[in-house]
Amino acid sequence: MSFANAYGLILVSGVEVGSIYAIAAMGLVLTYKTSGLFNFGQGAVAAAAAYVFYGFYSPQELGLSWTYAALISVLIFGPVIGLVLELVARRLADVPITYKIVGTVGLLLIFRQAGSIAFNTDASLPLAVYLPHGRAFAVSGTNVTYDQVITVLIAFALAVGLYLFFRYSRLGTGMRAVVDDPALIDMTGHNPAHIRRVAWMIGTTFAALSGILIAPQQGAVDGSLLTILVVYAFGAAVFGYFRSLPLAYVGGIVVGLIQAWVNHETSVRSGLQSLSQLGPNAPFIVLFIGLLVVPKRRLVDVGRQVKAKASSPSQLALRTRSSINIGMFAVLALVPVIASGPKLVFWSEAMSSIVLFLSLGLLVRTSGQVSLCHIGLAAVGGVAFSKMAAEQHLPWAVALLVAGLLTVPVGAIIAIPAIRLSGLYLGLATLGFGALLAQVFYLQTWMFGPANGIPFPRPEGFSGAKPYYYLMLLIVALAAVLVAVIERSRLGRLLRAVADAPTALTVLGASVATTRVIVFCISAFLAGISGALFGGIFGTADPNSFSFFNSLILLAIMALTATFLRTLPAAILAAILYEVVGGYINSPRFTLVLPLLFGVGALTAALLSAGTGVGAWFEREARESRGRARSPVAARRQQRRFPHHTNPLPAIRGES
Amino acid sequence: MKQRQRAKIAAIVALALPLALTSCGTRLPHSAVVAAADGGAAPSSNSGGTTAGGVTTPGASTSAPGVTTPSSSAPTTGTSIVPGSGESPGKTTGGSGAGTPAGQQTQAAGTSHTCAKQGSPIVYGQVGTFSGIIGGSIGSAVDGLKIWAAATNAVGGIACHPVVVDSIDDGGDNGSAQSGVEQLVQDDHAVAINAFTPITTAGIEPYIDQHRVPVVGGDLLSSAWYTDKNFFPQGGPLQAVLYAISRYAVLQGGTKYSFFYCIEASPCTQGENMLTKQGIAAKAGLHAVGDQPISLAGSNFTQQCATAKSKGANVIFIGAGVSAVNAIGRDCASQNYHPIYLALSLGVTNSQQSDPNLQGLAIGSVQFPWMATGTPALTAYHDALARYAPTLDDSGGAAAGWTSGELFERAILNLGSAAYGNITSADVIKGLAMIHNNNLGGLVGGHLNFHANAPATLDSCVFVAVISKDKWAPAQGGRAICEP
Repeated sequence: MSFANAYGLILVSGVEVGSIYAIAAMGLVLTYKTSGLFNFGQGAVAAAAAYVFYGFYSPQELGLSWTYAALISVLIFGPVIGLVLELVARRLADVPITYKIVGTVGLLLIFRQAGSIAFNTDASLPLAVYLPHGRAFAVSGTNVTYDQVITVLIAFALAVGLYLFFRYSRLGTGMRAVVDDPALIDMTGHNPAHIRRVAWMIGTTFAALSGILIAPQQGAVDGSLLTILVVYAFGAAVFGYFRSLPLAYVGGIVVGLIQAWVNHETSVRSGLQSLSQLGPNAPFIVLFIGLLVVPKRRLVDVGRQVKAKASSPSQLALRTRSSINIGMFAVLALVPVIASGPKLVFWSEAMSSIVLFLSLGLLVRTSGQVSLCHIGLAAVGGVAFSKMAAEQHLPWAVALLVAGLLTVPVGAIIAIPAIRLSGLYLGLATLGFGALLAQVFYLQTWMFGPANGIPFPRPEGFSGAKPYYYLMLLIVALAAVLVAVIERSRLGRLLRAVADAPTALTVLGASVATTRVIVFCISAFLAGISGALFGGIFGTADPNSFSFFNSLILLAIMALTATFLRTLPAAILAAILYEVVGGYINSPRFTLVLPLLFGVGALTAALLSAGTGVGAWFEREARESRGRARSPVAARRQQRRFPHHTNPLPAIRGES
Repeated sequence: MKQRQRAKIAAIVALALPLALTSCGTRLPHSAVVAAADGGAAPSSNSGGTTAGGVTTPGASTSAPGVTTPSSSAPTTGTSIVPGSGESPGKTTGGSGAGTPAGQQTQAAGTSHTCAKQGSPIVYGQVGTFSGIIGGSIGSAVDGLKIWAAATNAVGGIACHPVVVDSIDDGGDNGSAQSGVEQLVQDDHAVAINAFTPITTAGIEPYIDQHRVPVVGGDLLSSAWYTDKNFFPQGGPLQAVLYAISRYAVLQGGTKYSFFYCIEASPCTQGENMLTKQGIAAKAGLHAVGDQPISLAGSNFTQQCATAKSKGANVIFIGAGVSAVNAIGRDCASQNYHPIYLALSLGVTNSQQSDPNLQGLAIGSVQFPWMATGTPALTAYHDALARYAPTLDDSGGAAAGWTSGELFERAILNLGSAAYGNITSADVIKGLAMIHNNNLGGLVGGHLNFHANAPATLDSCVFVAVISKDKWAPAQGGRAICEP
């Protein structure tokens, strides 16, 4: 291939793919800059629109012409979804950034699954290209088809149109201002709510458009694939610092060109062929590296910033809490007796997941950080354990400990963006890191490699399912003690302060950065242990066991349970929801519905964190209960019941 | 306020209407097939939980719930299944064994069967990833096995035992796969397992080995099929498939190839490892010009096509799903590039045969290509399909399910008079171990050789099918290609 032909090919491929990224990225940036809510579910909205298009267009369904189907899915479905999301965004405006992420992850799960439920399948639905596909012209020997030209032109027209709209129309100017000072906008005669509503309608219309453009290019309507493809657009949005629409367009094109260039270089240069997997993952690389190198001042959070509330003290006495925790472990110890046989494996998986949720809880609940790559950390720990136990033949317990320790440096890498970035950008960076880990590193021979799986030996005397379950239960108990000790220690107070008032922490002389690194390292250690335990359940594990997308589900479930429960009960319930419930309800319909329920739960948890509704009620009850406990009447009652007790109100002190 | 309410109502209507209008109740082909095979019983089989059903009471005119009684007579082409009778025309083929015990059974070709004494049902469990992206490719294995059970029961079952097929979907989760096998064996008393577990074999293998339950037929993608003595594959390994289609490409004039493999699923990278790094393609006579990873989420493969074209590749091997195969065909055609396409049978469907870009697409299959005809065994398959699932979109998965059933049946028939007693897992293994140099009447490409205490030894012979003139058709005159 000549030089001109090679670069003509890169240009054609890169610009077409980049145009699709650009459309998705512009919709994303538009809603973010006008509402302050970064919609992780943008790809899922695109997928839902593609399902609607399929329903109206496919000959197996209603069989309308593609123009009608496109009009319905883009100009009706898209704006209406925008109206709905604007309502959600308005309520999420008052929640901390962590819960904003949780809320939009919930939206992602809801929209991604809605189409599968509607069509009663989570398999791909075949969809051929409906735009004219003949050859239009050639660029340096590379043929360009009409559908490619149309896609590029649509993206360009939208970019120019949006630029002019924001630059010259009053509504556009209003959109730029609405996030900064809605009250001021109100005084100028504009309705801020109306402006936001229009912005969301435009944003989701863009998402719908990208969905119906991408799906036929992929050859099918597939909720998972579309969701992932639009996540590629996050990389494009980095170029505009998540706020500039023209730069988001440029970013989309640049990411497409980078992807095409890396594909080309790794395929034609023999020395680079081992790096060929970098090409398809170029958008994730751009996202992760971009968030590391873009100056911090450029990555400013849009919209009102709500501080995370420090986790409130438990209303129960230490002894009561200990009794409850012991009781929970007693119930878990009875599981092999009650649920012996086919269902025990789900409980075994739950044991491993409890450790993972404890790890995630330490990050999210205690320190207010975000991780969308926790499954990846578990995979690293799992592989490390396999290498230590099966290849180096270390004793099982030593291998487990080493596996946890070897995961710590990876946690430290993730902590780098945590040091310099706020919650949203940290979430994006960890998402990019998790995707890279799964799609590039899992397949390397020093991780899982291309084989069927890597071995996970069990220790002597624990080869049976029940003994191994009890061994895991013991490790869960140790992990729970470790987390409880951390939470009650000075480190725990520092972590809560990181979430609550990082500036105050700095003023007091403590290092926020060091504290964040420490919590990521501890969390990674526990996640690594979890991965090692998981592999032992089956004696083997492969990349399929650690799908990076599940990190989003983990966060959604964690947020849901942590809304109502404290550390250990939240982790146990989350693990049961994640691993056990689906095992007991054997219904294909329920399998489709379960992720949607997790999504609804995550969204609900996020909305409750705004201090309204049930969340506020719980909060109020807790405050009043505290007040009653501190009252003189309560003190006298306590004194009567425990006359020799020197501290009559131990219950209101400390943190579980 | 009213404006807001109107917006809310519009939102709800717009959310609900498109989904309701376009989809409700329109997509239940799998269940419908199973319902048909189960004689109209409630379709609940393919995933999650078990389905007791599919048994026939020979000679009886009524059926219990889930019982298959398509009609009072046997299928028109259905012929007798006589234990130990060796090759017989129609559904059952191959094998050797003892003769029919006197008084046990009276069967005649083309007629209904009567058994002096009805045996207890034999439960053949099936577990697999029948949902999700993988399920889209292999989900029809459930149909294939159900149809086999219906056809078998219609001619008297196996040695007067009605056959019950219980299917469980593991959803791609190792835990569900393990739990499913335990449930099938412990609760449903399955004596053998049929496993379509391309990514969940690790979940079932420990239990299978611990309890010595034979795994009879399945997806054959995991190495366990050829290294574990409790796995009894209905054909050769993936390497044999890769060799056969590579060899076919060479016979069609192919000289250089590029492998487009997906980065998201380990079976894709395993294929790349075998074909290129282990040199299977080179052994068949194809020269590698550079493999190219692709993302299943990718929307354009023009660059990969053009790169392969510039390197002189006239063969493209695709290790990805159906939608990627279609998109690659489209994008290569747009560059006036029309190589020989090779894919695994899991990456194709019937709908592709009319795609002008995919003419010449070839696949390999250890069992018969689903469209093949011309032998009694194949006629039995197509007749059963026409009878029990006339609307089924026939595919490689259904053929694999059917062939697995035939293998299971052969194993039990090999027990001779013992086949009329209670059948256990040990009996099935014993019967399987009696299968030597058997190709199930031509249903499988190579000859099967099983052993009680050692992994299977097989001929690595594979059928090839190709899209020709808008139709899938057996290649090479229906003869299998064998790896030397």
